[in-house]
Amino acid sequence: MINNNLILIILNTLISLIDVLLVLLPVLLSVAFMTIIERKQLAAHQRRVGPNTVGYYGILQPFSDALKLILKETVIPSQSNKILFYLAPVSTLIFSLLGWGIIPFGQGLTLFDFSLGILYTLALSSLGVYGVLFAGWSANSKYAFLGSLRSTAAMISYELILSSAILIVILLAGSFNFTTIIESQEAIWFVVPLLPVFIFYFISILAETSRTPFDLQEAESELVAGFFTEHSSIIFVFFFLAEYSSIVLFSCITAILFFGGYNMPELFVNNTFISLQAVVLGLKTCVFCFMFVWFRATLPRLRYDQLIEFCWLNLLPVAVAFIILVPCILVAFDIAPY
Amino acid sequence: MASVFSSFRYGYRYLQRQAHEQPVIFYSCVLGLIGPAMVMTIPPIRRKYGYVSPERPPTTYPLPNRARVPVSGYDDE
Repeated sequence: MINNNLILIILNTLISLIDVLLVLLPVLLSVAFMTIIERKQLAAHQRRVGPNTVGYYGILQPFSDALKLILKETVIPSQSNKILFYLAPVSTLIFSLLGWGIIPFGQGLTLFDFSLGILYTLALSSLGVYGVLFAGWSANSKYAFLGSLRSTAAMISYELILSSAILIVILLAGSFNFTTIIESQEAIWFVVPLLPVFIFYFISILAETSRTPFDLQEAESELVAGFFTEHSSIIFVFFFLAEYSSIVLFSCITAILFFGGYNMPELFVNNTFISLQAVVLGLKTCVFCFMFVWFRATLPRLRYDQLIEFCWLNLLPVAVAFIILVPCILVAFDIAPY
Repeated sequence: MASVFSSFRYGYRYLQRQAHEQPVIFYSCVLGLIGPAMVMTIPPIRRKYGYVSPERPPTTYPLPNRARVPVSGYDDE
């Protein structure tokens, strides 16, 4: 009896591990290819060829980069706090990968259909700040410390806008669950009624992921590389992976919250027995990944005071106005979903 | 001599100035105030033109319109 139970527990654990691997491996591969996509796309924006030597069309470039970084010597500053110095990149990567646990790739095709999925995502994005803070402080370097302070202030400020935008989506869907939010967009994608909200949501995720035009904490012309100035070799790879994993994750969440997630537009009807839901979600995610790089190629970097002022004096009043307006419209027209 | 309308005129000018000087704050306030105004005005107008609120979806089975009969004859008695 005990043996049977033990076998069952081991089997369940193994199946769970395989499930996690089935999600994590494609995610890590997509993160690797996101780097080459970014370089190729930036090159196209600037009328260059981009990396084209390693593999066909330079497609193996990310693996070559990874190999180079892994084989490099790890340099640790002698006066640094070594535990936190290692812990910071690891925690940043773990927090950005944990977000994939509740993403529904199709109907019922998720690791965990969490009823409070959005709160979980917001909590994880808040915890990501700690990695940045620890990395800057533990390195015992002025550049890294300044970069981490800037990053932390920007991330905390823009998280407010991000939460406000997501709160409005929750008001419209009446649920914290990603699957319910997708199902409630069958009639119309939320981007149509909430276009202004989508705009400030996208601005805030650009700032959350420290992308241009909000990447001044990593401004190479003034701060070397921001909070991970002193990190090299494999621990630098962790930061790199975490950044690109966040970009792909936030693109995916944008597709889920505003563009119907895995649901196809009703114009196209899939009458075959093949489920294309995951492919649809992937294509939508690719569009937003493209937009991330497009903004990087187009917009100049903001100054730090402009960044903070834009958040607190421009985006926040608009976000608060919409938090009041949207529920009022739902009540006035008697269309609240609860 | 101040007329009856002067306070309104000054109020209007103040708003005009704010809309010019701090457009984000001003229009956010406008947008935020439209919401409660809609809640106050739209439901009575809709009711006037014949809108009836839909019934709440039932959250339990309806009670039968008869006296309850105690069940008997089962194994677990």
